[in-house]
Amino acid sequence: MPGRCLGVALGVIGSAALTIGPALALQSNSGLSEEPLPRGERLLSEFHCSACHSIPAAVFPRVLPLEAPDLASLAGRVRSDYLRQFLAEPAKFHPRNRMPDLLVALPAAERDQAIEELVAFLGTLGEGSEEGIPALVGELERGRQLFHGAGCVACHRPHEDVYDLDWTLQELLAEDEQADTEDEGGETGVLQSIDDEIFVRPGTLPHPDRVIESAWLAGKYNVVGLAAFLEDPLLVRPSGNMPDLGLSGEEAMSLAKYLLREQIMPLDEGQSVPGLRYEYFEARLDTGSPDWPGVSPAAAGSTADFDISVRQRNDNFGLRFSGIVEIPEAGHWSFALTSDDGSWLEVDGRMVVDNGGNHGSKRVTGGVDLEAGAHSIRVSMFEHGGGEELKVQWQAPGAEFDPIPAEALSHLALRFPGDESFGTALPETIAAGRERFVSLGCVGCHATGVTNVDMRRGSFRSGMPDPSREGQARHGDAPALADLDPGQPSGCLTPAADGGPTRIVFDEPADRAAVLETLASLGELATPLSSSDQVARRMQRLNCYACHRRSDLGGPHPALADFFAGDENAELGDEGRFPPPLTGVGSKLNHSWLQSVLLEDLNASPANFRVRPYLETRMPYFGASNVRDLVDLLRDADGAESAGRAQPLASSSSLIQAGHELAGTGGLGCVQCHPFGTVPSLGVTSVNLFGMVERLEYDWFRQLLLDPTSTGLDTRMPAFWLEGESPVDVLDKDPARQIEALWAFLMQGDNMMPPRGLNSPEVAYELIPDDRPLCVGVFMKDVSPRTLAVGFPEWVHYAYDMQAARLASSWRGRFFNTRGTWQGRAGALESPPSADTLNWPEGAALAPLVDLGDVWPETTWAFGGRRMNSKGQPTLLSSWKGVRLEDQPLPFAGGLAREFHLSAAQPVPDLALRVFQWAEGGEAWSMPAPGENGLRHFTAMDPPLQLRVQDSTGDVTPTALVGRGVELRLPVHWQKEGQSPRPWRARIRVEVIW
Amino acid sequence: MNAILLSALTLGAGLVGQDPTEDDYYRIVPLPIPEALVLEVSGITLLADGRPLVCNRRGEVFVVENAYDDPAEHVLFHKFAEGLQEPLGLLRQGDWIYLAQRGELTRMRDVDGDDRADEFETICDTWRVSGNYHEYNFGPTLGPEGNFWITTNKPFGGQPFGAVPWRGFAMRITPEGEMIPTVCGLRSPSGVQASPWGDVFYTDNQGEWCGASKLSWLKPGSFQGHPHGLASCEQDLWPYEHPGEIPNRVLMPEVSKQVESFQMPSVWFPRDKMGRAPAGFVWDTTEGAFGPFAGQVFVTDQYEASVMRVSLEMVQGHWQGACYPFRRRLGTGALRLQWAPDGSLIMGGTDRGWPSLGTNGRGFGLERLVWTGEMPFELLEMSARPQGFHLTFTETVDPESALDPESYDLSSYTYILHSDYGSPEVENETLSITSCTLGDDGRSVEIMVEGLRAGWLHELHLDGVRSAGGAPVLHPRAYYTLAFRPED
Repeated sequence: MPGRCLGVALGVIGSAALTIGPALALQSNSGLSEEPLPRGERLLSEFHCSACHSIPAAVFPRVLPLEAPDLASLAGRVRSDYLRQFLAEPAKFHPRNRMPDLLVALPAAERDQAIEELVAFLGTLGEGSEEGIPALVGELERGRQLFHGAGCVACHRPHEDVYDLDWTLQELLAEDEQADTEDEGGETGVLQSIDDEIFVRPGTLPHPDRVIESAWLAGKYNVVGLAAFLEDPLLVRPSGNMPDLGLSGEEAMSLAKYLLREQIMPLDEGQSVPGLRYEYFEARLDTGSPDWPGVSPAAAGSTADFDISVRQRNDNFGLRFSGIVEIPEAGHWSFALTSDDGSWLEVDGRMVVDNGGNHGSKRVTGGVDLEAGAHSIRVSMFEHGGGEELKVQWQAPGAEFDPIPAEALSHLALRFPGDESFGTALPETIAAGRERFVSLGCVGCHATGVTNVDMRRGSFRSGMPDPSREGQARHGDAPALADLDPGQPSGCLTPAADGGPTRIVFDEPADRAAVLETLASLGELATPLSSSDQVARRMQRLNCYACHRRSDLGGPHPALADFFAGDENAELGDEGRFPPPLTGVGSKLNHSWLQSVLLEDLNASPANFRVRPYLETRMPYFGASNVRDLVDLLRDADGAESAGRAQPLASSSSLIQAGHELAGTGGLGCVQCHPFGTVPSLGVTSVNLFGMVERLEYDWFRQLLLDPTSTGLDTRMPAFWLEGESPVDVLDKDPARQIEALWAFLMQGDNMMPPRGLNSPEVAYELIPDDRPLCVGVFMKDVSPRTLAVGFPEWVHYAYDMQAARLASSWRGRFFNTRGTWQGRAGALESPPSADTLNWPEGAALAPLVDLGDVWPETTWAFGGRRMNSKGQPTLLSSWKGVRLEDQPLPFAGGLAREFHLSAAQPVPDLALRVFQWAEGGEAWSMPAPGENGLRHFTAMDPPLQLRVQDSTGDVTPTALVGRGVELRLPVHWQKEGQSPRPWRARIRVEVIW
Repeated sequence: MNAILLSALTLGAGLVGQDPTEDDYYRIVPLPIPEALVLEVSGITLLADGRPLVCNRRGEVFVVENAYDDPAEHVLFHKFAEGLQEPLGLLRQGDWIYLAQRGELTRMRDVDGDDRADEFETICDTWRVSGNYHEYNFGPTLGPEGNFWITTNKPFGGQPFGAVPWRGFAMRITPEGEMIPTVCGLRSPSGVQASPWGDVFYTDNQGEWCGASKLSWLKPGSFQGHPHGLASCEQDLWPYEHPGEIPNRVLMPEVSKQVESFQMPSVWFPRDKMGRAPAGFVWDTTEGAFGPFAGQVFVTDQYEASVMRVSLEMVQGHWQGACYPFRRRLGTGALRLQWAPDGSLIMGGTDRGWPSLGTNGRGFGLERLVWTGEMPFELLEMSARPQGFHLTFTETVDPESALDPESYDLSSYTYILHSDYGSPEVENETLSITSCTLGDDGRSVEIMVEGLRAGWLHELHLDGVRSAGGAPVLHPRAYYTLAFRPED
């Protein structure tokens, strides 16, 4: 009875093919490199020997313990049956087990009792969820892709063959079924082993191959607990050996469901729930039939009835509702579909209403004889364009058409079971378990969140070695590590008698030998290691090498290379799918970015903050405490602080402009491959130009540009300066200066002017003054809706408020993007794009003042237009009571110079110019004596700027007013010139550099 | 019988294929615009030497070289000015180019002869700008007394800087810069033009308080229907009577009875039958160089990307008349018209922000309409008579078809003045033609009609009329706005 989907999903669960890991030839290849971390040291740290055995302080850094799982939420995560089996024989039930079997010495009867008691106690740590949760095929798919794509398989054995990941589980199963019928039991064909003769790049390390078989997983975890663990694994495993991939709650749940897919319960009628199951498709679907092969649902879930509001867009989508309809009485039932565009209704797999085809709202009916009771129903609809509608009605024998009531609809749901396996234990059993947990020494390695248990950890744990206790026994009789006699192994290392149980079962005999050998020469471990060696060991410990190559060591294992995927549209080849090599990374990234990468959970950032958004693999977060010292170790190892490293030149406008020219087409063409903020690059998609210099050391940037291959980066970055000369005629074609210019340009951050050549709406409206000034009329925020913005090729620009006839602001760098004024109906309030902006005083620049100390009066100057000189530079005209003002602001030495020219028929007494105004709190400025040519020099803080004032009469006696801020004012001196109708003139020049 | 029917259909289809098209009479000559130039043409005038000067919505002004080449293969644009705030019209007077920016009436000129404007003078900025994108200003056109006329669009949506007065007005600005608010009640007045005889007209776009797009007379002191600007009429600067309270949901012919200064439109352009967004217009002053329509008006429609034709006549002191389809399928949303020295018609426009049926796909365009010299068979003019209409054709008619009342369909309807967007056609009635009389010239017909209604638009179809040569009317439709009925 269940529809096809349910059947397929069920099949997935039962498909043996999908539960077995592919036979990857992970370890059998010769040519693998030796591991940088000696095996003995690694095992001492993995077995956390220092929890019980005290250890010399000097040796401790070499065998930093790998912390055992925190058990605080154990019962919410792990099933009790598993726990029983595991405690009984840890090495058997846990691959690569590192927990000593502390029960090994107990008599068999007590052993069982101890396990019961321990399980009872552990069952109080956290809560299992009683109710099962649904399993949706879409979630399983998402989890499947995450497991194989996000980076899990760098450490864990893949569950599927990489080639199968291009197919959905449903498709694989369908093919399986077909293969079963056609191949008469031949090879399954789903999974192929990878050729043993695979090429291994020198330096590649063995894959850790941490096998987590789905059957084992399904026996150990419950879904909710595993999802919580995957979302924040550092809570449980604080040492970072299972790092945090930054999975969202939904992603963690999807991944958990995929990993535990064997738990999914078979369907039976008892599991029907109200409402219908739906699948939502985002595609332009076939109009001729409700089967859309090759299209997988974009979303799925359940809904009360045939409700198309679950769609996520209005065009080019499809919906398929399936479930059970309860037919109340036997007879001939009719169904009606009204839909826009097409739709179909099937009952028990038979087409009853065919309302297919691309059409507007249209009603079609059909009928079928049905027995009373449950029947499967499936309604599919698609929408191409225009309106969308779906109405489903039924007609009981001899009755009217009515909507099918929601009460008649239900569906079967695939579900995960709840977990109540711990049950309720007797208080005395729990108490006994708690006591055993302490007395056996479990508490030495595991935290529990139970206060009076955790408090007793100190007496077992060494933690950081305490020199005062050096040599003293821990855990009752546990001898100090240095006192162990490798010649006569005892305790954990006692050899098994006649195949009997031992505390520690080594994976292979060599492990045991390595531990004994290391113990024999423990003192040697006190020798300090170089930074490089420490980095290499840490990278192995955290398995950074599984993804990153550094100094010819590590990098993705070739057998897994195909699991490293990237956005193919980026067209970057291997660079676009493998995480970057870390050779020299300590001198490549600056201190603060290295800290961010290692100590912050960057996966929490929005995707566009990712440096390499095209990589599918995620950079995990290992926990700050596990990698904090790596920042300085890497910098030291790679010589970041060494003398002779190149430093960038102080930035200047001309340097920035040259960098701008180099970055665009016609220059070095950086924009061909590097996106510019949200603007895509012209070709391949490499690292964004934004934020680059905030991460990099200048010296490395310089090396990269001079000779990309010298950086150890496997990069497609081309070399531009062959034979010491640039192909671009900027800054005398000098590579060193061009690199300085690019750096200065990139340092502009958000103020970066888009380089030439980019084509997107954002930059199509960018105004770049080339040879002549540019003028544009805009609505400007905080100025007026009648503003003239003027941009100069010198990259100093200003906004003039025509309404108030005043210069409102000036800024450096990028001129203006007119998208808000020129796109569509427009009408946006614009602002200068630069943070490097100087705001001029509000109100008129000139006003009548009897006393220069009077309050600055409101004076309304009328805008009179502008005059343009042959260079295209405007002079702004205004007038007030017969006084005509010509104001010409021009770029000057990186700042702005204003020429005020006044003319009048009669001299106007008591007119003053307000040169500038500082905000309240302005301070530290000087008022020197007049210099050459009557120039006066002023400097001020807040805003920090330099001012020079020049009066045509040479008489500059400005007054500084300190009140609500600081103002610099100047009386206007009139002089009669010639015999024109307006012979009275005054000229003042003000230069401002901010 | 089936065979006969079939052959008739086949023959008919053949004839349809040979029917004359607009292209046979008026060619479109697009002026190629370089890829890098976004020329959203919003104003056109001619320099003294005849070269076109065009402005765009980005506030740039260009001189067009070799604009009259046919085909236009060597057209060049060079920048005359920039930094203007959304100018939507250009007018040359002597050396000076006048234009209305958002915030001011401006004039500019090139002093040193390098084809770049050197001087920009603010003539008047008495009004303020709120910062609302829809506060467009159109014009100027030169009125008979030497004043510059502009029209001001009303705002839509939010107003970031606050409301300002004098939106939805026609204003006169004296050469000295004095502003005289002249007509109130405009909505979206995207064309303003002085007629050859001095009266100034404007076009308005259908919407709230504007039941149908129209061409209307800017009679000083009149009120055009939209109450947005009424508050401004309380200011001392408004030299006329306040229009008073404006009724909502009233038939247009009734409004005149309730609002004394209400101006009935000269011509309504029924939605989609003619267009959706009338804009610039010109009177045909080519004296025949552009074909048979001398003295009539050509009006652009931005949505239709078309040019429409209008004839006007004075009836009881009111300018009214009819509109006719003229030329469709222009390259872009048509905004501005300007006669070229050779009597061809320059059209410039854009559909940025408002979609159009323009064919060039660029969002803007500049082209010329050139008469081929072939005489189209058209209804030249529909003129009102006390009991009917006088129809004049461009060519001698076939008497049999032209005198058959069955060759015509006539109906009438009117619109509602209300705050809703646009008005349906209401009070629709089919009128019967009682007689047809052929004029002595052989190309005019007087039709007598039962039930003419003043204040109603009269829609005439002439599908049955044929020329003496047997051709159908190229555009067999006309819409006469019978605001007033001539007296006997």
